Amino acid sequence: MKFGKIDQNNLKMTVYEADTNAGAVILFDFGKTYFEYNESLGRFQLHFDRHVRVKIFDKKEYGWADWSIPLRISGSSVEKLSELKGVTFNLENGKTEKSKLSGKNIYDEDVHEYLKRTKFAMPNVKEGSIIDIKYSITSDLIYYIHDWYFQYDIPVMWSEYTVEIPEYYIFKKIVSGYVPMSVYENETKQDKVVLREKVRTGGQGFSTAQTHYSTSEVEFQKEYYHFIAKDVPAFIEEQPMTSKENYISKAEFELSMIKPGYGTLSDYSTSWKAINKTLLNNTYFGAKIKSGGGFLKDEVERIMSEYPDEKSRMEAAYSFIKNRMEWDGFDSKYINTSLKDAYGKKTGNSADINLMLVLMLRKLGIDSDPVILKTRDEGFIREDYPTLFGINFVIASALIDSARILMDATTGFLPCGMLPIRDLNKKGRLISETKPGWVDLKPASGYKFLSMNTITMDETGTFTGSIQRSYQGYAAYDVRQKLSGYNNNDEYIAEVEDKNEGLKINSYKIENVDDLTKPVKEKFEVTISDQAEDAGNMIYFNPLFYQAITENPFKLKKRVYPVEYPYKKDLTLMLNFTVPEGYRVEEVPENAVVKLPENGGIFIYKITKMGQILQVLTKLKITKEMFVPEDYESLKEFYNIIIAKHAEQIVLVKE
Amino acid sequence: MVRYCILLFLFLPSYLIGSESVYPVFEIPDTLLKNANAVIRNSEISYDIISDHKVNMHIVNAITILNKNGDDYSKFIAFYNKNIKIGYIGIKIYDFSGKYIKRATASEIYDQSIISGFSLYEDNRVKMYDPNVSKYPYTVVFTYNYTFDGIVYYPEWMPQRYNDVSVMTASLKVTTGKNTGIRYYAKNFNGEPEIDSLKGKIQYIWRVGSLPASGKEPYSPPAGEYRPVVYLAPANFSYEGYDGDMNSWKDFGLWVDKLLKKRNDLPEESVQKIKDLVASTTDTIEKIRLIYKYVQENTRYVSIQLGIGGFQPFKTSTVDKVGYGDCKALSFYTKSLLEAAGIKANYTLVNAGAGKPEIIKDFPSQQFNHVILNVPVKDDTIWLECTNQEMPFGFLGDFTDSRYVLNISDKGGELIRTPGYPQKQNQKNCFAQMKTGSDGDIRGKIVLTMKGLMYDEVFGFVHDDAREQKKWLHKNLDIPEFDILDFQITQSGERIPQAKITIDLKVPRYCSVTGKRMFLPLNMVDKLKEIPKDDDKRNTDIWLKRSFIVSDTVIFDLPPGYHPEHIPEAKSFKSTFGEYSCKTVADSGKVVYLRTFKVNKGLYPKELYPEFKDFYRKVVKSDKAKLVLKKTE
Repeated sequence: MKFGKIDQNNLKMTVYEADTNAGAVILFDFGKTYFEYNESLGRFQLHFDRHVRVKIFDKKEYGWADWSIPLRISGSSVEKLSELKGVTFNLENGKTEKSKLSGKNIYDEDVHEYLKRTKFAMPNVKEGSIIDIKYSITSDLIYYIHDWYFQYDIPVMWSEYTVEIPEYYIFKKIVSGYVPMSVYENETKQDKVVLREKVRTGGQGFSTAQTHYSTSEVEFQKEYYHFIAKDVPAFIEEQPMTSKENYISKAEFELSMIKPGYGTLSDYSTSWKAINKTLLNNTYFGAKIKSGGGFLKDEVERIMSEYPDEKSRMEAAYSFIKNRMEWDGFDSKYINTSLKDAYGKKTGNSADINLMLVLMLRKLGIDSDPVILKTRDEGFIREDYPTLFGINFVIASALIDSARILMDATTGFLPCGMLPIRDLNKKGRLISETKPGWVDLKPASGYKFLSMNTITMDETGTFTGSIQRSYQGYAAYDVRQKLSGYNNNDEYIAEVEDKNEGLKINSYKIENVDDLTKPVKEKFEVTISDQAEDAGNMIYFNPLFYQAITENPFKLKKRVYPVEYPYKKDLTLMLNFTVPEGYRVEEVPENAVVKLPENGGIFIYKITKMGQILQVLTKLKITKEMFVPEDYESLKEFYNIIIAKHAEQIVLVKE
Repeated sequence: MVRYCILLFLFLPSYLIGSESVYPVFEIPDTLLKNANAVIRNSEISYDIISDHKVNMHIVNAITILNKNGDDYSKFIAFYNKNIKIGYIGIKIYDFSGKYIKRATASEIYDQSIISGFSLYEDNRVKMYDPNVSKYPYTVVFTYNYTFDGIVYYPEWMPQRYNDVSVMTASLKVTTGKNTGIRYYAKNFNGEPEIDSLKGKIQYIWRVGSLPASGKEPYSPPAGEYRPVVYLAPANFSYEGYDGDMNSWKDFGLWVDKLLKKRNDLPEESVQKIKDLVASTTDTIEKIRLIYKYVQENTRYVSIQLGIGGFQPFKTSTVDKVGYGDCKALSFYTKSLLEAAGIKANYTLVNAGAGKPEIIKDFPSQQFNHVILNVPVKDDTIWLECTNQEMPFGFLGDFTDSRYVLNISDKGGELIRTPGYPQKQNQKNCFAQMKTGSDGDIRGKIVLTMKGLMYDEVFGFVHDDAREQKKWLHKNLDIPEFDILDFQITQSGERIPQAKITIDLKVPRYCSVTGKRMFLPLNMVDKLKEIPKDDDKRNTDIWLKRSFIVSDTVIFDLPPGYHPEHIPEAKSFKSTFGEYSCKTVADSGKVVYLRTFKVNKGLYPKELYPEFKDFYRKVVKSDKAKLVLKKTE
């Protein structure tokens, strides 16, 4: 495709037939990544050329006319933008009109130390415009090939990407997503580069030193990749989903090796074994936990004397590090400067904190190793593609009675052995001298909530009684997190009353907020008014009051990607009602049991009548973390039934 | 002497770090802890006005963070650009007892460009630091300096900006030469500033103290309406070589007008293009409409703010060429196109935003953030918002309606008012006709009509694509679960626009069925759900932003074999805040539900809060009413 030359039929196009909702479509997107030897620098540089053409149908996609190209900086190594060109095409009275992007409308923004951005708004953009953009990036950061996306939030008619890598650099190719490639080629090609070297001769006897140039031709092989994806649909995100990065179609190239003499690289990742070795020797990783840690001496001695066994010592170390250290919010697999320094400042990144924990556990004589991982929003780690790129986090682990216990001391409110949701991303890699390998990053517990209610109704339709709630696993984490946002119980109670119309809390008790090993228990004494409806000589009400599920989380008709929950769920509600004398129970909801396919979950609604006492039990259990798209319909219907049952009424009649 | 001071200065901090306790938490009185997530222990802002374009600012801010919800107030965030430079920054953190924990080193203070979400380019940057402490309470003390080169407006001083922050002491100090002059306006402030004269200078000090956090109160007016606030403005000023005088609106307007001079250089061919465009009509309003449409079709909003460009529009030839600009550029461009057609339009400054406090009429100063146009025609004025491609012609919406704005002309500035939208123009109407099945499903058609400011609520979605519109309906139509079989959205009207949404839908299990009975909720889509929260000691007045009428007519065809066992009784009540009525009529297999809900906008005294709550409570209760149907035996 030639820049600046377009097919007038594309200008006349008013809608993209394959997706009439699309407000814009990428007509084509050509990208090429390659290496070129820079003679004056005497080394290879990485190049990226792109030519993209976007057709805009609707004003709401005018965002595609405003561009921002990020350029990385790493010390003196930079990515440099060149040959940026842009043209907007419009159809004016049957004629093609061109408006060029002018240099004075291009802005360079110094975002921060590590990033620049080149920004521009295309001129004269209207509904129907076509935007043609071309640019090149020359980079000294030879290890960093930009990810190529075949898919965007608007459809793409043609996406073509070529990559050429000389044999001196070994990159791993990772193609992910649901979009099939129309063309995929991979072959080895020949190339050559002419090198000119300065040679100094002479300098002996009476002759002076001379400098002249010698020319040599170097032949080498290069790896060639070629991808074409056609008619790619827009990517539409669905919830709940681990990360969009697991499902959007893209090609990534990640450096695993550089041949000696062609640059330096700290991350060697040809195999997980090699990665293990690299990390164990890395100054900002393994080297820091091999020995040392004198700064922890007093605490280690204290824990040794106070706690008798490995398990309790591990728990004590975990709490100690968690309480002493503040997480600065940065994800990292490498420590900042030194563990001692972080210890003194009481703050650090994820590596500072969790490697410090590993070190402490080791000093306590516990078999402890770090586990590296990708956090959930980064997408899954790929076992078949050994690479350190993308791995952004490290946690601690301990082997006690041949059980592997995982710990992340960056996050509060979690007992030893439970990881925050952020870390629950399928697999992590144990980095160890003796037993490197894969570790499952599964939730150590589910989300468990139980509510027991004893309620008495009076003749006027006012309810009084008690509600006891117990939270375990991630439910306890959630409630502790929530409660920490209030200065005192009164504020919390006021908020609960506000959110639940007609609820008055007469007394409130809470247990185990600080003891993370125990479930949180709440007890409310309540009065509930305005919840029963008078209808002539009848009174009717919903026995679940505020605790009913009223909204289906699944609203789409169909689902393309799997439904992913971080953990299993178990919600149970039990109510004991006493109906006042003078009233007869006329009607109660029917019992129901619904199951999800393959034991994915169960819903129970059960009501028992014993004289003036009614017992209601409702239970919702989700026992799988992942549901394939084929299960979507049953999952949606499952919730529909829950909502319907939870909306049902009990009818009383005045005698 | 000088050396001595430096030594003392060097010596002091280590002494403080050593033992002295700084802002221990026990010193905070209990009254200031209630409703608070953070407490400002001491805040001192001082301006030293050197000349009409050079001003130094010194800030000390000590704040105690009580819990995690207060963490945002612990972050250091300071904006700067080439006209506003930051000097020294000191940040220290202390624990609850006042013991020193740590301080921010220069390398820990993060520097980055900051461009507001709607902007392509600005020269603004920010310095930031996050103390990252999670053992509460803790105290952060910021000390830093700014130097202004050219100052058109001073940020307003509002010591208590948030409802979850209490203030122990706060002060604003302004020192100025006798000739430079500063103008000020204090609102909700008791008494006068302390004024001192010293060595050819005047010093003004405002102090407040012991302001308890009010807590979240729903239906509160904007903070600036009831909290102490001091506005400062220069008398004479200079910005990038443009000298101005702000003593009157007229003078300030002259300065703005000066920035517009020589900015209209529309090429002759574009002038001709506009002349041709409007040649077909002699009607002025029609001409304005054509030009407005032309602007909407040929431009888009892109913001670029650089130096004086924050106040001065692009040249019209630039907008003509690139087809984009910010509010100043697009308004000025539209004005120039109108002029090409022989129509005079006025550039107008406005403080835009829904629910903004009224500007201070008696205090001429830069209180605006947006530009629109007003076009006088015969006995009428047409208002144009030039930054939106979908806005109906002449409609302002609640972004700029009903407020004082500054009309700019070569005679200077003049305050005028934008039109408001009275109650009868803001209507939502729901007409639904539904068939009820014996399984509790209902199916039928809903027609929603949204007019005036009610149209504003759906404005964005009216112009979206079908997929997004469907998503919007699922999210916003207050029915738990439904299938859309078909839908249609149309728009009509200009100055009072209206959107009509027709939806064919099926609602599975709309009625809950228990045994022989079926419970049919009568109010389908307009249930009022939230009762204003309990509040024994309301601190703020009640503010209802807009007047409107919502009316519903819902007809249900009853399933065969069922008859109404109980029909909720008709209700009708009135209060200062509005009116409500509903009634249900059953007639041969049909039930008709009629409802009207009116709200009157206004600022009502806080003493009326119980009455207000009661009014809403009655509406909420009534809206929950269900028809009880029983199977005929």
